[in-house]
Amino acid sequence: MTEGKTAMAERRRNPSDRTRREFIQGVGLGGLALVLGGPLAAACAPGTGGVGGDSSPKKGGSFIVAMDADAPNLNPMTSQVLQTFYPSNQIFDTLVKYDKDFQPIPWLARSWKISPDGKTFEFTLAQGVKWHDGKPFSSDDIRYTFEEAGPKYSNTYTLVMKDLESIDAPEGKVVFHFRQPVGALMAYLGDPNFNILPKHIYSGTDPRTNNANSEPVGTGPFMFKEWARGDHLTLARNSSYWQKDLPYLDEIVFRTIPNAAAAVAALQQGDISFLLTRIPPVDAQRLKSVSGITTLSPSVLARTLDLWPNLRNAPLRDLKVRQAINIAVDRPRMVQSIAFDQTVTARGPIGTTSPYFDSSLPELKRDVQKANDLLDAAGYRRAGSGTRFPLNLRVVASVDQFAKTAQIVKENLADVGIDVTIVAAETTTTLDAIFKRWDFDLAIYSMPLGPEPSLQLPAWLGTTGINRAYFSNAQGYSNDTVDSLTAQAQRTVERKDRMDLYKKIQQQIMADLPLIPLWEPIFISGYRNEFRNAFTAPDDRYLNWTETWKGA
Amino acid sequence: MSGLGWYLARRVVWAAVVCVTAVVLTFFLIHLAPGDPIGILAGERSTPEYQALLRAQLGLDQPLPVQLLRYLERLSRGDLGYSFTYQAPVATVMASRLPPTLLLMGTSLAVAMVVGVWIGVRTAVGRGRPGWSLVTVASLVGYSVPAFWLGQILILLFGVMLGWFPILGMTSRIGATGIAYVADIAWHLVLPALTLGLIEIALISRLTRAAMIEVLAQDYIVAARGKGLAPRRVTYRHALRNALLPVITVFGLELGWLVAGFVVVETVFGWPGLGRLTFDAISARDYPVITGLFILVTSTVVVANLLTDLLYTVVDPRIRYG
Repeated sequence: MTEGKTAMAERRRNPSDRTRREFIQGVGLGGLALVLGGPLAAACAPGTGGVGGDSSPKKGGSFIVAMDADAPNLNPMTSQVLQTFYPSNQIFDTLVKYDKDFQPIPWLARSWKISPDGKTFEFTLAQGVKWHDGKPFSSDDIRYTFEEAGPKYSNTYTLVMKDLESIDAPEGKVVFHFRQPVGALMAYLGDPNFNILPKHIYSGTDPRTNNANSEPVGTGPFMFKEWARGDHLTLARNSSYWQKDLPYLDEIVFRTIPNAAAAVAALQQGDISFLLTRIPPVDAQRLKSVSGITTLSPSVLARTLDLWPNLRNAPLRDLKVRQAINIAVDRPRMVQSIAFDQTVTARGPIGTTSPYFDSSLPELKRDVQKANDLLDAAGYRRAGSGTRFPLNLRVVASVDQFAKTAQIVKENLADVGIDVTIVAAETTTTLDAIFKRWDFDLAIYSMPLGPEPSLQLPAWLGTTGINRAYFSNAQGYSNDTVDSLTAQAQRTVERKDRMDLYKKIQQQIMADLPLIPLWEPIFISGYRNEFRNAFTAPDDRYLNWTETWKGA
Repeated sequence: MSGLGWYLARRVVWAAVVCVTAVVLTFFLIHLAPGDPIGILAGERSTPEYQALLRAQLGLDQPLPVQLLRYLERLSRGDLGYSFTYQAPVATVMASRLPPTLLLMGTSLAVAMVVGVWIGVRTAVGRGRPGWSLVTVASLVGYSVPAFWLGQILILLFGVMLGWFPILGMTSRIGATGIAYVADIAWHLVLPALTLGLIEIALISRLTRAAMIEVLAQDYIVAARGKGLAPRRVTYRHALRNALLPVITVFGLELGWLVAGFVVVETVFGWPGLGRLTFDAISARDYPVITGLFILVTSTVVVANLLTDLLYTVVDPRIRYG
């Protein structure tokens, strides 16, 4: 159908070069193709399993993935950005990985036992695992990763492993001993930051500057082949992979395509197979009716985009003022005009895609009259000009979703007499102003509380998080109940028990309003339907293409 | 030592002073910008302890003068330091980005010189004729137009609407070799080279035109014509050679602007060269890379000006130094 359209367009451009008859024939054929193509396209609609009947995986195929920027380097422990994780998730292995519901599935660890007190975790390791350079893998590599490299270079390490006492390595197993029960260990062991690194390459060197960061050696399904920085990175199938008959793809090529529109066009034309997280919502809406492409945005990190009030500042100190702002903002309008209804409004600090989301939290409806009443009751009457008080609103200019949200917030708050001035600046400047200098009245930001909120909550909303570090409690919120519930959740091993604690935390936060949740940003990925099992992870952070195969 | 030798020695010393001053100034200037690289490097999950650790590992916890001294000490050993974002030596990072920039620079400059000089000569010789007046106006517009605007317009017109050229990057076909590879790059080169080239053509043609008009009014040109020399020979062999002198001067001075133009054009077109590296490094506050780039630019401009001055002795035999 694509060929027909192109030929048709070509003929239209040079009608004088063709006879009239040929021209009309071309238009007619094109029209016929459109008519017939309709039902054919419906049969090939995404999600119905594709054309034809081939359902058994076959080997072969080149998988081209578009990223927005080059990876700085390929060491997932020292370079903690998604552009590093996407390729290194294929080159290295973790002890476990996660299924669509964020349940751990065996990987390098084939099975595990957790002691009832939650302090001892025993893993049985896979056999016959080799590094890409042929050297044998062993528990020494695990110990190196968690005992030597982790404490010095991983940003997630102290969060998860601060109570690690020792690691034992009896034959074929590895055992982690903790001083305190660690509720969240299984939720983080599969994190890209904990990909197992080769001791024989990194030990005794500075992992930050080791050459292997540009030519990595892992145990994973794909091996490093070549890297033309800024342009493309090629990985080839590891034919001696320890999981038999896997992977299926011959190679994966990562291409750097900074322009989102160009990347979407490339996906449609088949020049790329997979587009990571950058499909603009308006294009995603359009792609839903295009056959041959699937779009999706699973997220276990469950971010919400919030309005942060600086609780040190005069009007915002008052709960009534925050409550007024909470019901003055028009959330459905944000979702509709910015995200083209591809996502949902937010009801709390944790997004609806998290297994810990409290579904009893109500939908927050806009009520301008009530907001005005609240502000009057708080003592902030309108002046002659109609303004009650001014506020500045800081936002990162380069993130489109944030910047557009700021615009809508400004308009919404004008309706209740709050005069908002938007201060949009580049990333580093804005981060510095919000976190280091606390120089803001309102800020638009998004906190990643997932996958396991108990670990992240102290930094973003805990009393100990008020420390002027980056990504800390910039609002100055302090509530002892939230602090102690969080600490309890960290020690709770059973998932359903943690759920109860998280419910209470979410309720308390929505009562105190140290943040005003707006909507849930989505990061939409897309892939071509001829590739099966292209997105089996619960979030793009954990994406792994071991079981992806190319159908017809 | 000959007069030229002393001249060169003085210039080299002066060049070194300029470069070192630029480095020191740059160092303080970039630290004046709010924020530091730690936020982006450490990531959203990082603890305050990790951020402090990272800061110490990168030497950013030291007072600024101490950091500067350390940097200068490494520089004297020829070490440009390590990039924060790429975690590789700065020299390596810059070297890997140099070829695309040289390609873009060489192409646009070569085209601009040839076309610009030709237009300059024709509009000077054909002064008054309506066709060439239009070209003169067009060159004024071309020179005034901002590079990022022109680039985006070209992308919109030729890339998106007409679809004749790719809209960004240096290559599209992965694994292409030989002729196919060269052709692929050439195809991507057109729009960015055109953006820079058009602006350069505008400048060069105007300079050449102005210089040519002045030279063509000189007595020796009248004499040459009187001797019966062919007009073409008068124009190119006698007039142009003298007209080129001021063109070369101003062009040498414009080199600084060209650098800025490269940052803009490479970023707009996603061209993986030094210009885009500059933009990315500044956004990420990658101080070693930024300083390394400034050193490169400063030394290039200084050397270029020196070469320009030496070129005078070739173009105009009357000029001698020493």
